[in-house]
Amino acid sequence: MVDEPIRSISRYWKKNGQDDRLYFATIDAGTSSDIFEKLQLDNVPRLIAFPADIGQFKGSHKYPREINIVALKFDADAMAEQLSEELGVKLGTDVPFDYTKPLMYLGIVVVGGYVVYQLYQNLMRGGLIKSIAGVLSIVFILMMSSGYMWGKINQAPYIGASRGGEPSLFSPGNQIQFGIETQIVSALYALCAISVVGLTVHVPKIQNQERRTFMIFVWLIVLISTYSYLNVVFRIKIPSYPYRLLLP
Amino acid sequence: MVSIEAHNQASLLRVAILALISIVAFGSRLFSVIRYESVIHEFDPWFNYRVTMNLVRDGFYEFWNWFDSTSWYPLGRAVGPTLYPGLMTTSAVIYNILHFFNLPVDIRNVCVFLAPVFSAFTAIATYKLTKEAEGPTAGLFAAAFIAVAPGYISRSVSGSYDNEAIAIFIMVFTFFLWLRAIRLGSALYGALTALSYFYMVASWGGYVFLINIIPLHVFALLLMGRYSNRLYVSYSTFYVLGTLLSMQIPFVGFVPTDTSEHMAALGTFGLVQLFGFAAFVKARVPEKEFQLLLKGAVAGLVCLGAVMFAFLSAKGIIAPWTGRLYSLWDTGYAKKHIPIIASVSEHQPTPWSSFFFDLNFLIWLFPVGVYFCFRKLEEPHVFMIIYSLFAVYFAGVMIRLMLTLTPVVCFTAGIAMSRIFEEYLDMRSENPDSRPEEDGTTSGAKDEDRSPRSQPNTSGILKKIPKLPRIGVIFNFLFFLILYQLHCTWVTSGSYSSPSVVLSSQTADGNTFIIDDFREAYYWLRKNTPEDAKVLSWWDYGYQLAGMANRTTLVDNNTWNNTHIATVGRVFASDEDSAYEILKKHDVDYVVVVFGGFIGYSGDDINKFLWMIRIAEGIYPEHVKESDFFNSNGQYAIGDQASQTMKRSVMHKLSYYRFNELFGGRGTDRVRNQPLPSYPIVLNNFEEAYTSAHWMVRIYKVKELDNLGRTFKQSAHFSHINAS
Repeated sequence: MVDEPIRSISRYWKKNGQDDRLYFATIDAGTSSDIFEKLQLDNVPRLIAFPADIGQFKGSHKYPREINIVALKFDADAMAEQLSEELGVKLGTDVPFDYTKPLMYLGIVVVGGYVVYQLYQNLMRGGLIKSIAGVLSIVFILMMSSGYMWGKINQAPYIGASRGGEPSLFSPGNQIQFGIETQIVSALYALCAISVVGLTVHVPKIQNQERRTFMIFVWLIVLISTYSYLNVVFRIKIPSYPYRLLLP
Repeated sequence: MVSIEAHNQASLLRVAILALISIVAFGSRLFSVIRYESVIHEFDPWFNYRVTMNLVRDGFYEFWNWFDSTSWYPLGRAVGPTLYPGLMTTSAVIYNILHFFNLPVDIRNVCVFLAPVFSAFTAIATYKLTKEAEGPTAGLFAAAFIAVAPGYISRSVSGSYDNEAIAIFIMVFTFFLWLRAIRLGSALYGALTALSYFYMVASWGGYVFLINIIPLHVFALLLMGRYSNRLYVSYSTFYVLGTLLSMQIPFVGFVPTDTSEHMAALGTFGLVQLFGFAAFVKARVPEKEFQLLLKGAVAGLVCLGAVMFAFLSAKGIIAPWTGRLYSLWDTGYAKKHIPIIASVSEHQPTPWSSFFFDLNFLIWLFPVGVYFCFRKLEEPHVFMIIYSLFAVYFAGVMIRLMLTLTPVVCFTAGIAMSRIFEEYLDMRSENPDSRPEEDGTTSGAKDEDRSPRSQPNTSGILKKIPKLPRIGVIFNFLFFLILYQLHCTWVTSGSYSSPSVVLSSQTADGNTFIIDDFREAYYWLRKNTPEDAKVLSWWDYGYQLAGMANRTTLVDNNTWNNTHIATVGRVFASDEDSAYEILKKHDVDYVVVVFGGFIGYSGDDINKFLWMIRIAEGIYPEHVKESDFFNSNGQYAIGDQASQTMKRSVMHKLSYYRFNELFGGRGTDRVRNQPLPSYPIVLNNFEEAYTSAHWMVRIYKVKELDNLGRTFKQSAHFSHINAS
């Protein structure tokens, strides 16, 4: 967690520093517990700046000072800023440019474009492109309307645990949600949507009357039970919600 | 008896149903008026209300040139060029019309009831729009859905006098005009679309959504190879007139010509011209030469475009890669770099429960409707799909954009619902064999397969009630519709009808108990302080102070000047002496803090305090540090365990001053469930001027300078020694 930011700061110093007034060192509790005892450190990770007390770069104060990296949220730039304030030298971060991501995107775009082009040339004259676009759009809508962006922005945990240590799928309360909730809820929406499509598109095409009646009831039961369960789930979120269907 | 033809009966019924829907739309937004009184809600509406009053009193030209020196003291604010005037102008026009007919309606009532009236219009516009795409049944369903959809009601209850109140109607209406323009290829409808767009630009910053969706629609149609002269005429008319008109609004000005948000519209306009030219050439040149010409022209244009783009970017005339564009897609950007945006709760992403809360079962009818749009895929359906995709993304990122999603959910859900009812309500032929085949391609083999075996096998109950499955489906969906109406009423009544200026709670015996502290305190300020007194409060209360107390404020909900807001945050976050210095520099006479610890009002200033600190830290990092306000255990405590900086801060002192005396020193803060500070809080530089009945608003007077030039601490110490 802090290894990478510290390395990037030290790399910056190595590249841009004029002299060797600054050293970066790491110690590990496993290998040097004596130092830990000396400094009375009982938790990690910690970042401590030791000013020089002799020589030409003698610091303005004598005692080592700790930088509260938890408050800085382990952000490399903020740590560099704090350190440069503390030590009186200009520090920054040197993050090597990560080529994999743009290359990956470029690759996806090229391959995707090629595939789409080939498909269009060979297969698409019919309705296939329409179907693919339709499926993708509907999946996108289902994801977005079940709070996918919330989980992404707030970095929600995938699943929660109840007091007894059992996994809980739904976090109580309107303001928080787990990653798995998005999946469950979008599946429930999809099930409801599919049964409506089944009722309106699929069923009228069935010629056999008995089978048609049977399918109508199948879809209705799927729809009602899914929707009932959705209401149950929603009541976990908002306990005062007064409406319910079949399920309690 | 006069008999009416079936056709006329249907249209009569439609008008009647639409009228009833409008009445429901109006009626279900009146909870707050019935429960409280006809009062303007929340924060921003108070500013709009104040501006409208000025507009009605002084006329349009005064309003246009109004420089408001009583806000953002000492900077002031030029009101005319920094707002969207559509809302105020609308209500002023309505007011003047009513008075022309000698109907003496108060301007406040015009403002309070504007949103419900426009919601009724929205229902009608939704009907027109959905009818354009799918037909009258879907239109009626969509209108009924949007009339009560909580996602829209949240912004349009009576008293919520804000831009969105009229903007959603205008947006839907513009879309309707646009679809009609493109269907007819009519320059007249294109021009009407532009006019309606102008009204939208004049009313709401959300017009940017509109000016991106319409070009995207055109672009998608071009991509699908559906260029037509109708498209050319309607889009060219709309874009040229719409852009020229939108530039007449001072607040918008030249923005449509040089920002990235409007470039999609411009680019599409260019593209449409190219397509138009290509179609023109194609009609006059043989096929082979045309292909050659086309290839050459495309290659040439791409090169030219790339060179132009590189040149303009290098010159800095256009800046396509600005942070603004970036923040739209990278959602973490605003959170990290612009705390004032992140601090507003309606800028947070939307959890799934909010979608269900605001749309109920429409949320799963929504994908069904989109599915039907894909099956038909005519021009209006392409529009619906594009609108759905963008709106659902933005609604997921930002909870307030649920408002732009709600109309499209209602359109598509209307389409889906109409399909169900059209399929199953048709009771004329319960026998499947006599039903006319929809697709004539059914093979003969199938025909043989079904008829002889299915009839005799029909089981008992179905024979008695052959329509049972159909009735079952209809009843099921009727039940869902009723449930939707109940859900919407429950949400509206419980969550969206509180004016937030006046609060209510239930006493133990079930009676409603009105808490009117805000108005009480503002009224006190109005009556007991000099007219030119400067009042400092957090920006949330700026508009209300200006509107209700009529006093000069330092910051308000306009939030245009981050530094000024950070200064106010710094006042609250610093200790008394440094705060006093800043206060005196800004001529502040009174300080207002909102405190909910007595009645458990969680939206109070101590809860907002962390944001104040963050915003102040962004500008004054050397004076304010967020970490200082957490105690050694990392808790945001307020009692005896609070950190030293917290205890010394002006906000803490002003909130808890003498509060514990109420409980004999052993009270708890009901919002944060923490014991109160047990030591007596000493104020040197402020004196308590007023505290409202439930301690919600506390007003302090900033003391005048000591006439011997001492600090107040010294003088207090001096008098303390003399007394003893």
